[in-house]
Amino acid sequence: MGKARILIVEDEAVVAENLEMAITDGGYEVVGRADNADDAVNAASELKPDLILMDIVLSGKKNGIDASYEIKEKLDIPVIFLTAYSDFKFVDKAKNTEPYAYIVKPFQEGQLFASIEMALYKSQIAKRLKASEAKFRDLTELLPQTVFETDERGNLTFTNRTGFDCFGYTQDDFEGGLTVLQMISPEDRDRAKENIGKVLKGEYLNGVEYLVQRKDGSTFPAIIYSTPIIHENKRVGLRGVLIDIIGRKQAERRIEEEYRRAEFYIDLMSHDINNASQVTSGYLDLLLRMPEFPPKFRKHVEIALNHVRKSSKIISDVKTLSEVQLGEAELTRIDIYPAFASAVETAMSQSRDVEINSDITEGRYFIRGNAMLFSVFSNLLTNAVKFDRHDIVKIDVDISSSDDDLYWKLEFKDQGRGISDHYKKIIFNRLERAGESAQGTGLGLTIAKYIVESYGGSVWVEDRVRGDRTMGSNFILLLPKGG
Amino acid sequence: MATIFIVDDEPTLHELYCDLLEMCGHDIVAEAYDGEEAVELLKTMDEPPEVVIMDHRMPGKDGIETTKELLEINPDLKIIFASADKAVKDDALALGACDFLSKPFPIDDLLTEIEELIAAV
Repeated sequence: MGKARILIVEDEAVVAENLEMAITDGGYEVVGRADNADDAVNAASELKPDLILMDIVLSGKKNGIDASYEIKEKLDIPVIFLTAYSDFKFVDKAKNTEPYAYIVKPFQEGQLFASIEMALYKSQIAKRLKASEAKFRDLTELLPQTVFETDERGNLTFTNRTGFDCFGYTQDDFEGGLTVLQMISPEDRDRAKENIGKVLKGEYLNGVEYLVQRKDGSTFPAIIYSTPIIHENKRVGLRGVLIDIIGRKQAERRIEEEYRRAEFYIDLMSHDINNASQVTSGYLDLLLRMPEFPPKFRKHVEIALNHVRKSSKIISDVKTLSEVQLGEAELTRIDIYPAFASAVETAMSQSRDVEINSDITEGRYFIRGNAMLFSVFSNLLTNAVKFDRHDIVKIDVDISSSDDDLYWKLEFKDQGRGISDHYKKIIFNRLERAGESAQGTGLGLTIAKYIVESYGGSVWVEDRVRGDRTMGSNFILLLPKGG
Repeated sequence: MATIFIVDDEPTLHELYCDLLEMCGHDIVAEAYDGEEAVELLKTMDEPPEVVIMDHRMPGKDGIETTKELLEINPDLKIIFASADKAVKDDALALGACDFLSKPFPIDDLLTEIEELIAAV
């Protein structure tokens, strides 16, 4: 701060002169002098000094206290009163103008400077405090949430504009007295009372959901966050924020409905298609059993039969996928082996010559998973068999601990026709490719990916022999260890 | 050869079961299209069927409910569930159904099961 600028208001010219000299010597700037109240008010408005030294007794009708009142109404300038001993009776009246100090004439320089410094410093602090208060008040008023304060009995002592708008109360209602419990729907009041008690005792509560009530009796769901107001080490009330969550609730409900609808469609479709498939496959089966059925058409019926079964497989895959995505399956500690063994059995039953070598054994490898693990292994093994044109299909399945020891790493190495780099990236993402034409491997790998990810694991594919995709693929699974 | 009672709301499945089972020498002795009808029919039969083929999702009483009531009337009934609702498999078996065939199933599975059931008697 540069030199503080001071206005002197003193009707005795000699005193004023002495003051100005002393103040100037003290390193301050005297920006003006006035000898009566009206001039003092005008000078203060025009000059905007940092501080006013104001004699209480002035010539004219108004005294220094009157002038101070007028200045205080318009401007935020600290005032130091100058009084003679004989004028001390005025001091009581002067108090209401919140002066920063009194100086008794005749003054001593030391006392004068100390008072000026103190007044300047205090007024700075007061200004900062005011700015800070204005900032928080503006923020509070701008908030689209209700902000409130109560005393220790729950009487509302403050609320922002949003609070009034949200609950439909007026300033008059507020001044007539409102309690925080009036804002809570009757069925939630006991719980609210209990929680207010807890917060006042210093217990920390995260946001609590209530049904809250407007003046007209209508209600809406809200979350209230609150904290005790602490004054001189005592909890004297509550300060809180109330958030209307009707929009969130509606969105949650909509999502739930969508889920239910999706489940309903899947269920309806799968049930009815499976029933229809039963009729179709049943009659095809029946045809094949007829003694008079011409053997040369046998193959055609078998192909048709196969495709009916395939459509059932698609349905059951889609069901599995939706179950995984809805997160309905719980995770527990399971042994990898049983799921792997039955997947191996399934893969071996595909009327091909299949050799599967693996060091996965029972009771040794545990993960956090569920019964769907079978689908993961079965999809990987079935694919490996399907895309291997050798007379004998050979698959190695290796298991090891990941470098960070957190996962079991399983590698399914086949000698099939391999997978192009482009396809390696998208092979697991059938759902993300939902818009593209539906060709390729079906849903098997997508299901595997979703299941593995629901365990917190991952799956990807590399070339079995690095750089030579024609040598087959290596499907790698990381499954979180289950203790 | 077995006497068979078909409970299913889908008429084409009745046709399939009849065509197939009669071709294999079995005898369809009763047919119901919902659970209520099945219960009423069983009550009127002088001779209980050797095997019941039971659907699950039907108007009114479902297969589980119907099975419960049929077994109350005749605890010795051999009931084979034939349903597209895999989710009720455990309930059906716990209730006393002899087998659960998940639609669509190969008809061999049904024939084998019927033969096993009558052989066991």
